Amino acid sequence: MSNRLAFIQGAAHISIQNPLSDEWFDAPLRYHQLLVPTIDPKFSDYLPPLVSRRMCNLIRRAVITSRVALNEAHIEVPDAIISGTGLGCIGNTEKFLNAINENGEEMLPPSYFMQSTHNVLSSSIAIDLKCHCYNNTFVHRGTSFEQALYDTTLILNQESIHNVLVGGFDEMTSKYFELMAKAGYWKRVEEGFDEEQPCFAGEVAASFVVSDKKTPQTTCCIEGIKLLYKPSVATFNKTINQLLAKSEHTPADVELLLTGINGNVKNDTVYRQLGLSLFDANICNTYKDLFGESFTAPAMGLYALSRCYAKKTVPPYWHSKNSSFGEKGKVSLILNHWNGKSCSIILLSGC
Amino acid sequence: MNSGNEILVTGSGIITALGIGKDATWDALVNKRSGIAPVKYLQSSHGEFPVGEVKLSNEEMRALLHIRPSTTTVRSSLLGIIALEEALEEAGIKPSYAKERVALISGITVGGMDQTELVYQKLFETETYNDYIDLNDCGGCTEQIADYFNGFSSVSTIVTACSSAANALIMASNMLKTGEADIVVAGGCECLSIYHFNGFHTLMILDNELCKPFDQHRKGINLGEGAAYLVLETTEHAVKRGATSRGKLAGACNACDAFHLTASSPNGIGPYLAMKGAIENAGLKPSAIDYINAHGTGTPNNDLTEGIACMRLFDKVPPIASIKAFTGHTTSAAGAVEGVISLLALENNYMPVNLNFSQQMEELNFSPVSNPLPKKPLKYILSNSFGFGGNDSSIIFASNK
Repeated sequence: MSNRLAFIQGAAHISIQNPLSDEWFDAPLRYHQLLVPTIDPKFSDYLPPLVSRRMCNLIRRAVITSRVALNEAHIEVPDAIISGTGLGCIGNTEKFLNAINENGEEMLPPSYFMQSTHNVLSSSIAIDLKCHCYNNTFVHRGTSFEQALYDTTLILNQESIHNVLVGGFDEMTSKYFELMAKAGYWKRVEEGFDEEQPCFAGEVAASFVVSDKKTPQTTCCIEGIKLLYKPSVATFNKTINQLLAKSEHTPADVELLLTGINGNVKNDTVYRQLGLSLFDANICNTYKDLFGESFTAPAMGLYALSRCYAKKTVPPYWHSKNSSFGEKGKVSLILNHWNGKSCSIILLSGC
Repeated sequence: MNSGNEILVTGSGIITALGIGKDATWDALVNKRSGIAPVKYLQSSHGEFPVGEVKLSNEEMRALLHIRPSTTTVRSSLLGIIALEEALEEAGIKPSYAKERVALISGITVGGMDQTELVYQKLFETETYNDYIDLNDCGGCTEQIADYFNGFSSVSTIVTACSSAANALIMASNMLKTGEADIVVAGGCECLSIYHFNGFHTLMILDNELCKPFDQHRKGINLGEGAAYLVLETTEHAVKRGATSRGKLAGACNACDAFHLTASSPNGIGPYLAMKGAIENAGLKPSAIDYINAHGTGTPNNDLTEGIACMRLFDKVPPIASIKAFTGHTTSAAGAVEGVISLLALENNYMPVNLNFSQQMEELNFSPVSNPLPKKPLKYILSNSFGFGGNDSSIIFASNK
């Protein structure tokens, strides 16, 4: 872990829960369908039509959550912008691909192509904020957001970088939903929603301002983050212990665990093998039942947990070890994997 | 910078239109032999645009790599594996080497689109193409590359269009400086696809002849494909395991133009900040740069912006050349492809020339390099990668001497 701690100063989301709000905490919307679309705010409340009309919805969400997070952090322009996205603006990609198939490589609309390279999100945010600083994008399946967060902690070591705007963004189309169902990530449309295996697809837009020092706006501290690839159970557990030790904690200090358990058997089995053996089952909580499964769902897990630290309590449907949450000396963990290959561990504490 | 903490390159690998491996690449560069040719493998109807294709079919690459017929692959992964194999071998990282502290970072933008676009309808109609689904997104390709080599401690994928591989190298450097890994292998890969070939075509930035970087009459890009990876570690670690340094990554900077999704700004603020930042990061002054490996795509827009940014930064613009008329524009792989070429230039004390140049641009006060022999030994090369989205990165490579 880099020597510098990182602090979350501001955050905002637009997701399948009520956007730009924390109503999900006390009164989460519960879904029993396989594909749940985003609840969007009224875009015109935030973006003038001339600016907005050139953007697809995912870009609008990225720009708006960025502005709201910065506002909450009392920062005008960040020193870096980093995004994680699993599919980018997949809607535009499909439109351009369909246009090629229908028009046969002639008279193609350039705007779909321009908005289909995944860095269009970080780039659009930079254009909106007129920010010429470090700008990066990670596209790595279910750990896309964590890779962006990891890069955040690396560059916060640099003299000139104090505030990083980092986000996770993904949309889902009905066509791509169909493909991921065929690949086994969730049930197919014709199978219908299954209460026994309730994995469903959601969409994500979450932005955070992560800084190198604590301020009155700080909600929580990122004590450490690690990325792993196809780790053995032993390596995974060893890494958790190393992260804890580095910040002078032990497994006994872990008061809450968030995992990516989502109701899909193949996915959930891996969690039961990795890392959970170190902790009591009753402090293991899930967030994909609230926000859906998505390549960047972990951004919503971090969002939710950072709000728990702000409130110093967890929602009624989660369990932590202690009645008061986020006390000094206590930590929480977010564990994630995709296909048992790319994995991430995030260690958090209160401030 | 403390010399124990320098970032060394201990191995590298490359595959482009010039051939497989560093020897074939260098041979083409010194003999001024371009790899640009009419479209041969890509099934596009735009045959009038020459490209820098790797002169191997997917079947031929699979045979080279002994990949079983039952394994589904995408072209970018094949390119990536070939380049990575050369890099790991040169660095002496054998399959038995403990992978706990060797990380992989790869840049790519096309993902598995080269195959997805061919089988798109079939993906929905049958079950027999399901393997392509997990290979479609960018991370899926990188994982296919990683899995050929017994895996790595961590595997990351950066997608910043034409600066992807450069940003992978920058992240690698940052990981090493913070002690996050002992060795980081970084670079990128990208194959041609009908999708982005048409994307560039619809933006009207392709040249139907050999491209003319920095020429008054330049018309656009020749798209290319390829892959390259560099094995990076600190001096301390290289010495400890007896690895040989091939050159150094002396400085780098990532900046953003923040102007437009595809065009670069008239004043070139992004390129200017990237180059300036890299030079400062290396603890140098602009006058220390001996040669610039330009982004130089041959578009009216890029070459003007890059040229203006150079004139703003340098009192006298050093020898500068784009090698894109040799390899084509290898997009996500370019930062690493041209990094490897920059290191070869340092090693051989020879500046790859800017092919197909005849007339200086009226806005600029310099012409690109046509004489490859430097006036004094090459020590520092500045390599530029400026991508769509205003993602501008510059890296400084230094010779061992």
